Amino acid sequence: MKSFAPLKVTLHGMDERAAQMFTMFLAGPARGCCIVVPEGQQEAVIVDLDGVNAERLWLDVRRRFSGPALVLSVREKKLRHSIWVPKPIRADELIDAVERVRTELNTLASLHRGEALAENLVIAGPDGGQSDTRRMEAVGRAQVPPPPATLAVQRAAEDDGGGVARAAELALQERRVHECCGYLADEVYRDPRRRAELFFEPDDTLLGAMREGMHVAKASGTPAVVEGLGHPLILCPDQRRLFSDMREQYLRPLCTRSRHQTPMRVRAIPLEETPITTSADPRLQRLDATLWSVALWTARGRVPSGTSLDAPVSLRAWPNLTRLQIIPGAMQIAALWSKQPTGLMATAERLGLPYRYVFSFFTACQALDLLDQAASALSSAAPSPAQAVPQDRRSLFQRMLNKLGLG
Amino acid sequence: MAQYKIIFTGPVGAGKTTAIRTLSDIPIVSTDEDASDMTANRKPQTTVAMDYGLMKLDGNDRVHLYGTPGQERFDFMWEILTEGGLGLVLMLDNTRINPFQDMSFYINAFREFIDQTQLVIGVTRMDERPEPDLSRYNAHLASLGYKAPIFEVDARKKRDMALLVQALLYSIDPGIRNDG
Ligand SMILES: Nc1nc2c(ncn2[C@@H]2O[C@H](COP(=O)(O)OP(=O)(O)OP(=O)(O)O)[C@@H](O)[C@H]2O)c(=O)[nH]1
Ligand SMILES: [Mg+2]
Repeated sequence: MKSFAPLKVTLHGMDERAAQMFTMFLAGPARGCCIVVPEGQQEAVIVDLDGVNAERLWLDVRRRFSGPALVLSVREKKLRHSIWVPKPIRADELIDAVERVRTELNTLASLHRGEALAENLVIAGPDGGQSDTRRMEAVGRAQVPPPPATLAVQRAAEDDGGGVARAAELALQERRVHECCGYLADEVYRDPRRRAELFFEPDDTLLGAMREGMHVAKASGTPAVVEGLGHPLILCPDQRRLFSDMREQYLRPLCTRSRHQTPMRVRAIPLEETPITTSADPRLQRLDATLWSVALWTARGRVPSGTSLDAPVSLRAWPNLTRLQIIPGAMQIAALWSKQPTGLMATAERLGLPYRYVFSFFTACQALDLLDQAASALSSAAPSPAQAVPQDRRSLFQRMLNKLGLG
Repeated sequence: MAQYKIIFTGPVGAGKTTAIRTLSDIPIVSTDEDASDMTANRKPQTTVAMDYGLMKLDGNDRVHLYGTPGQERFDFMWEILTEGGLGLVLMLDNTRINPFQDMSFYINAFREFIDQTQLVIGVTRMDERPEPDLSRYNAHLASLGYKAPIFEVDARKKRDMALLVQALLYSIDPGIRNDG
């Protein structure tokens, strides 16, 4: 079990030269136990806390990343979700600390894998490997963010050793939210000069190719295939199934590529060319769950170009949120759009959610054809205040939600 | 100490008793008896008066979970049970002969209560029979003049049931936050 992939880290509290030295130390004496990656891709952070503004630095790092941290310092540091590595740094001590972080991350991943399997889901391991004795159906559900009250959290609660497990859990959830909702800050949405960043061209993405495939399939009455991805993706809208070898690990990165970078062809295929399989075949996925996830990974906080930011959005039918990947705020947004059509910008403001959650949720609901958007903002002329809910009841609801333990 | 309640209803075997057991913090109180009539070929036990479970919240508040008996001959209990309820969780079983007829039946029976509160629908046993799918449930609900969350659930799974109850709460008030 020693041949792990290196832990992905970002470095903090080091100037350029120090960072360079440290990177060399990681590659050399520390035997490549970590590699430095761009911010946003890290599994853990390494923070030098002996600088002048250490306290501020720590807060700043924590604001951006709640996952595991390795803290380098001359003096012992007991900080939340972190492991202290004493200076002068010894390679074996660093490797040990990295090992601990990795064990936690792996335990966590396998807990989720176990949970997912228990629910009849596909989730690829950290190495993309997959035990094929497991037979599963719905790839899209693999990424359902784990409810906070999972085993992992219980473990974290029992774990008094710095709560690295809890941190790893948070990091994983955070990563999933980023994968679906991107990073755009609220300021960008309010800045008219940066409008273009809020939109994407669906026809230029895998999402567009899948939509096209569904039309082709419906028109021809046979399945359709999307080619050019490395592995074929076969859409069978009549059976509400999708057939493909590609799992999340492979499919997600494809959502960030344009069709210029990855040319995709769509064509109807005769039934005879469709692989014969049973519902227990793990390559047979739920079309709605995969399409939903592909839409989220494509949106990353954006909506299809041409979408109005103000015209009221209404939900025709609720998405099946027990079987689709949930992003934060999904329930609230669905409830609001179901009761009272509201524009994209106004939705975020009214519910106190980051705009990027609302935008991603919109794109996903639209991919499943669950929305109506009025042509203009006229119908919101009289924003009938949703029935005023008395304060005591609101606090009851809050406590019930806490109790139900889901985000 | 405030008291609130949520009502679970639906046809025989849809999973009401199971759902309440899944959500309750106390061992549930149930009036299940050995099923004597046609119910028996679906499962050995059926609820004759009601189910009762309890969710304990911080601050000592209590949310009472009541399940109606599924069999229609006990429908005199229904009105008593809904009095003062926050909303209705309708459980439907996808393997029944006509789950849409079940939906119509229960929505009509509880119409007054639903109109004053909120409805959510959980469809069970979709693992055993995936057809009809939820789009048909949504269409049928719309034809009855309602729009409400409809989720695929397994009454034995805490996550499914918690999400369904969450949808009920957010539907009553989309503005609540769960960060306390
Ligand atoms: N396979 C499967 N079984 C389920 C699912 N949900 C519930 N069940 C099972 O279905 C049965 C439901 O029984 P109950 O909970 O007693 O149903 P009930 O609605 O209380 O029935 P009555 O009291 O007779 O009206 C239990 O055995 C559950 O374990 C599901 O989604 N899939
Ligand atoms: Mg019962």
